This record gives sequence, structure tokens and C-alpha cells, in this order.
Amino acid sequence: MYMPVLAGYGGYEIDTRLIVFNWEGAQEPAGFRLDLMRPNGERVSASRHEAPSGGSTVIDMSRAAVGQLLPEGVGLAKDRARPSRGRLAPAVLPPRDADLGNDHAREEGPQGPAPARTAALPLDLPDRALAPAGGGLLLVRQHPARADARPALGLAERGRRNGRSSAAGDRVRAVRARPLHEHVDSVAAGAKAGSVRLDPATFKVAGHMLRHDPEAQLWRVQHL
Amino acid sequence: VARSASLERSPWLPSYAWWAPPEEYALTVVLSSFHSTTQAEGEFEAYLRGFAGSGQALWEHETGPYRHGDEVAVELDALDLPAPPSPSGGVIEVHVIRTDRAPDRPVDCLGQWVHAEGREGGGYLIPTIPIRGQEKRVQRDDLQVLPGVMSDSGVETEIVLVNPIDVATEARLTVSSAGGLVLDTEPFEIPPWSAWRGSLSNELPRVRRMLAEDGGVGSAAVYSSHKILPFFGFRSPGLALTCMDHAAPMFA
Repeated sequence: MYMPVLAGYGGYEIDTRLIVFNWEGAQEPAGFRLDLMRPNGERVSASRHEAPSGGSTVIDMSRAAVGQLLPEGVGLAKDRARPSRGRLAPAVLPPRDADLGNDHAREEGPQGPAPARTAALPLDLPDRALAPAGGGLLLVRQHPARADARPALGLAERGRRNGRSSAAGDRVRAVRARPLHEHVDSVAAGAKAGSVRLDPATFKVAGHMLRHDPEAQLWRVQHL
Repeated sequence: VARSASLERSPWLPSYAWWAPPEEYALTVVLSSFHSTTQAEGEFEAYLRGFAGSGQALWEHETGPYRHGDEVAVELDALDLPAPPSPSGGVIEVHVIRTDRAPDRPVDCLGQWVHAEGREGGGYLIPTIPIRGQEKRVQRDDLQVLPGVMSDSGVETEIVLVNPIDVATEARLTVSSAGGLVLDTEPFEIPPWSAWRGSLSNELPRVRRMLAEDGGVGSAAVYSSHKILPFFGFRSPGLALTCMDHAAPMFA
């Protein structure tokens, strides 16, 4: 499960808390590992947490807690072991005079990137005009890595230990952030409405849409 | 509003969302063909209906045919529709039918999106959700969770429960603090084809005190006698509800 972490993104007073809700199911704590990644996919921290049975774990991802690890002010958290029950979801906490957003985590594909196929459903993001200079699209993209990349080698070694095919070495995930307004002038100008589509739909993508109205200090963070 | 028998019998089933009070939100139903298929031969028709308290629709709107590659945005303000009589709003049915082929499964649903712009700021984008024909496998239909609710002096969580079936549905809310303290509402009834709307602190007056030790943050669950469609969003004092999202079922 992936979710965006905003910690001073764009120089704004924006922080994030992540919440794991362990409800119903086995009456025992749900343990999980949480990785924090920069937008370039570099993992900058890994920590273990437990959500108590019937309760929630609140994880501080504020500027004070992780700002030093995220020089871009934005990153991604990845829940490495989905709890048997419950979901991981962040609340984006604004300054008190601002509005706020919420978001659900997005689930990653069970086996990494699917092979290229033309009939896959493309990512589609219906929306209206994005705020001028504030619209962005944060994509968590699973893609093949170079065979000699360290994560690929690690996965291949783990696959051998677990008796799985070394083809797992192709299944390294990484993260890309694509500020939409930096790529599409009409979006930056707030002049276009419509959908965003990734073509070809080669990879399974978990994505998030970030919208910010700097005048109203209004953030909206929603999953695709 | 009478419907054709072929529409009622279509294996393409409708999906639903909150018909928010039009004095608060300008709603646009976004019908994206790209979201429905990658097949260039895809052809569609969409029928929108508004319900408020009974299975008799208050209004219906046909989009006419559209094709793969088209994007249709239906602004409800432009349709001169009656407002839902309840301040809680009503139910929007979004029934998209693919006219060039039947579903691969016996029934299927082409979910779309409702975009809401607050008249005084704020807003949200929510998916429409089917009540029948969904492919997701869930462990149970009577429980959905809202991870990460907030209730303190600066932020309040608002909840909308949509009941798009012909019978009244009983529901109750449970809020859990990070430490596992729990508050429950009494069961309450949502009439057929209606929306229920409330805030945590109105429904559970002690919730702010309970969540205070955890920074005003906890999580919530919605129990219901039939499957309902829960949505939740956040509101700061003096500002509009924003960032509404749907609750999460327990996936199998």
C-alpha cells in the first residue's frame, strides 16, 4: 500500500500523519513495516509499527519528524506488510486557517509490474480544471529495474532463498512524481479540464492527485 | 419517470453517489469512456436519475450515445432539476450502458465519478459505487471502515450514508480512539433511496474528549443491516466540506 507524504511540500505549512486502523478480525496487534521514499524511489527510512486490536496507530510524518529525509517536501510511504485487517490511510493536517484533505492508501499489484499489454485499462483521472500552478499528479509506478540494480539483485537473491524464480528480479518497484502542471501548460494555467491517461498502460500504477489552491491554502489529496 | 424495460433488464447495472444539496455544491457527473474500456469500438449511453425518499426518480437525464474517446461531463446546474427535499440530499444513480456488447460477466457495472465544487469553496471528487454487480470480494457487507477520522475544535469529520435500495436500512457508527476507546451511536434508520448526513461530534457528543489524547485522530466503522454506501469528508470551522472519500470494506 502506498500513500503520499507531504512535509513542507512547496514551502507550505503542510504535514502528514498516517493512520492504521486495526478493526475486527483477530484480537491481536497488527504489525507492519513502513518505508519512506523520496520521489526518486530512494528509500530513506524503514520502521516497524503495530496497530493495536480495536484501535489505530498514528504515525507522525510531519516536517519535524521527516522533513530532513524529504528535501523535496514530498515523498511516499509504503506499508510493506498489509495488516490482516484494517487499512492504512493518512490524514493531511493543514495549518489551522487552511482547509484539509484526506486520502486512502493505494494497494500495489500483487506481483509487481504486469507484462506490457495493449488491452489494459489506462489510468484515468477525471477531473475539472486544476488550480493554477498547483495541480499535480503523484504516481507510484512499478517498473522493471536494471538487472544490476541493487534492489533487483536483492530481490533475486531473496527469490532464490525462497525457491522462487529469479524472474522476480524484474519486479523492483520505484516511485515517480509527475507534477502535471510542469508538463502541461494548460493545466498550469488552470485552463483545461478533463482526464489524465497514461498510454500505453504498461504498468500497474498506484497514483494520487494533489491539488493546491495557494490563495485559499486549500489542499486536496485524493487517490486515483 | 418511466423507464424502458430493456434498460431495467440491462446486464450493465447502475452505480450510485451522493446527490449533495445543490445550494451547497455544484455537481458534475463525469462520464469517462477511457475509464470504462480501452476498446476503440466501445459505444455507450448513460442515464442519470435523482432519488430522494422513494424508488420513484425525481428526475432523469439521458446523455445520448457517446463513444470511446469521448468525455462527457454533465453539470447538474444546467439541467434545471428539482432540489432534493431533504437537507441531507439524496441519491444520484449513474447508469452507464455499453451498447456495442454485453459484459463478460453475467452483470457488470461501469463506475464513473461525481465532481463537486462547493459554492463557498471546498469540494470533492468521489467515485460512483454499485450496490449490485461489484467484482470486489469482501468479507462482509455489513461493515465498512473509515480510517483516519478527526474531531476537534479545528476539524470535524462529516459522514454521508447513501441507501440506494427499496428498504430502510439500519446503521450505527462506531468511533475508536488510537488507544482503543470506543463510542457507539444508537442504531438509526436510513429510509429507502435516501441519504443520511451527520458529523461525529453531533452524533457522539463525547467523541472530541475521547480523541483529545490522540490529537483528535481516530478511526470509525459503519455497521448496517444492508449494504450502504458511506462517504466521509472533513470540515474546518467556517469552511466548506472538502475531500470527501468513500469508506473501505473489508476485502476478502
